[in-house]
Amino acid sequence: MKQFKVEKPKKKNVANQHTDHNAFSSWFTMHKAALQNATARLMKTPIATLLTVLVVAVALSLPAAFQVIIKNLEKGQAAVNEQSRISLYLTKNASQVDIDNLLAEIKLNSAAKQTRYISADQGLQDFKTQTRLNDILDLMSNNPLPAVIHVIPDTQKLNPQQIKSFSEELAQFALVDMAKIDESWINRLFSITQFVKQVTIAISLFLIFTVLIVIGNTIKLLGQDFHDEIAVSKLVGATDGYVRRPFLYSGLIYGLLGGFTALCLVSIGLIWLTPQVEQLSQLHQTQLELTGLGFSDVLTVLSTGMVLGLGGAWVAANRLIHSLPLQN
Amino acid sequence: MIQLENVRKRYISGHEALRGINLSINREEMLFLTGHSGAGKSTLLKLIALLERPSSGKIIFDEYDLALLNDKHIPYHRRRIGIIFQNPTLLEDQSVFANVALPLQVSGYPEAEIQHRVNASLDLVGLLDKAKRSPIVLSGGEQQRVGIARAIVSRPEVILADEPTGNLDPALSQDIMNLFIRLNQVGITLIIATHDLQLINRFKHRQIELKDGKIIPPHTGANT
Repeated sequence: MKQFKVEKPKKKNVANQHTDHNAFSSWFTMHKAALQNATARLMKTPIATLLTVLVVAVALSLPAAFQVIIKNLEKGQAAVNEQSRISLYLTKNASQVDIDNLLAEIKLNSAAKQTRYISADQGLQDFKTQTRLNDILDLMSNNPLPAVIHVIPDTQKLNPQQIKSFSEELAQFALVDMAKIDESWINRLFSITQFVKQVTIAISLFLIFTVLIVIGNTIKLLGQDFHDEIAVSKLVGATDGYVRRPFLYSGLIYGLLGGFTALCLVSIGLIWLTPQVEQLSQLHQTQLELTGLGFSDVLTVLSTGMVLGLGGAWVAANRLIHSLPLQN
Repeated sequence: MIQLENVRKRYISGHEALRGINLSINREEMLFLTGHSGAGKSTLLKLIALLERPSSGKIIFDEYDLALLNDKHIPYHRRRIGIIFQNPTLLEDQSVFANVALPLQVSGYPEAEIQHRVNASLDLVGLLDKAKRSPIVLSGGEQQRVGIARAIVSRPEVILADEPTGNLDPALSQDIMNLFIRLNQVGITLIIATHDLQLINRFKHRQIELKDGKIIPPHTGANT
């Protein structure tokens, strides 16, 4: 044994947790060490890590995929909504003055984007050109068609339900015999979207628990390999926070990698679907285009993964710490 | 430095490990705790390190009543104490250096300081050249010295050693004792539990004998 040189111990206060070095650099050093420790632990069990990440990825990709479906449904809904039109059939004896007044009044309503008046005569003309019932119609002594006002609602402001109530409001005018919306498709799409949204919420809640349990369980298994290290660390003055930290980082990494893989899965699904949608688009001669994951979706998936990873790791690490014999 | 007042420890099993201990340990003292196994030596050390709590009685550590420290304070209390066991409880998957560095790491010391202190500690126990080895390849005596290096690296005020020479041959035990005496000379308070009377009788430090959880009054100078 060599020359003896030990400095005298400094008297330290138990209640004072600060040692004689800079608090921030100490904080940084400890987090860096915990992160390195966490990655080292994950690398030690690569297959378990991979499996956990995959399970988390599948669990997160389902709500993400549903989110994409909802976005596309809403886009479709907006497109259909765009075409929605309220037809006001006017009473037969409406005078031109009354009709002009009504048109002016509807135009004042901000819910109406556009109005178009089709007089009874013009309607008959249109009908004649569109159909080939000229002869029959000529036989009729007077025009059977009413005058019509087409109101195109402002679909930026109104959802299908509001359009419906707007139409009911228009039907209240004395001059209006009947108000009709071309609504069946709008309603159908709307209710499908609502349904998918609810299913997504239910699935998401269920999968959140799955992710929590999967990550928690993995951390618990991981922790069993580190019983000795935790026990010795606590013996030499490690706080619970110090012991917990590498596990939290592990959970965070699981969540982040799982979220990232989920995004990849959804993107692959979208790429696979795109040609089909294009084909469909050509068949229907419409402009269909799939909307993919937006920036906020990416953020949501990644942060959900990280929060769930942290949560699962927190619970598992705490249980581990308190299961140790060295704890009082 | 440490006062125990009528300290009792009864385990859930009903076993009474300590039955009314009154003991005062001075700062910079080196004290031997003797007695057969099961006499309560280990329990006494555990209570001082807050590895366990007493059932009743009072332990004052450097003017602090340990009963008033809650679980959050325990880590900071332990950082003032170096603990050495018969089995050095080293982490086998980590290097000797990493094992000794652990107490500094949990306290958040900067890396340069860790490097410096661990090297100094290993130098002190004569194992600097084996810093990068795994503890498994070391002999029993060397492992125990790694344990001691770990206990002193954070410059604790008190060292608690529970049968530190229990597994070692007399020559190695003597080495370890000499090391303890040098630590004591720089002002560290040491409490060493051992039943190796032959070894400790060579030193003239105070001895406290425990039997069935009680302190046996010293018979003048002599030992069994």
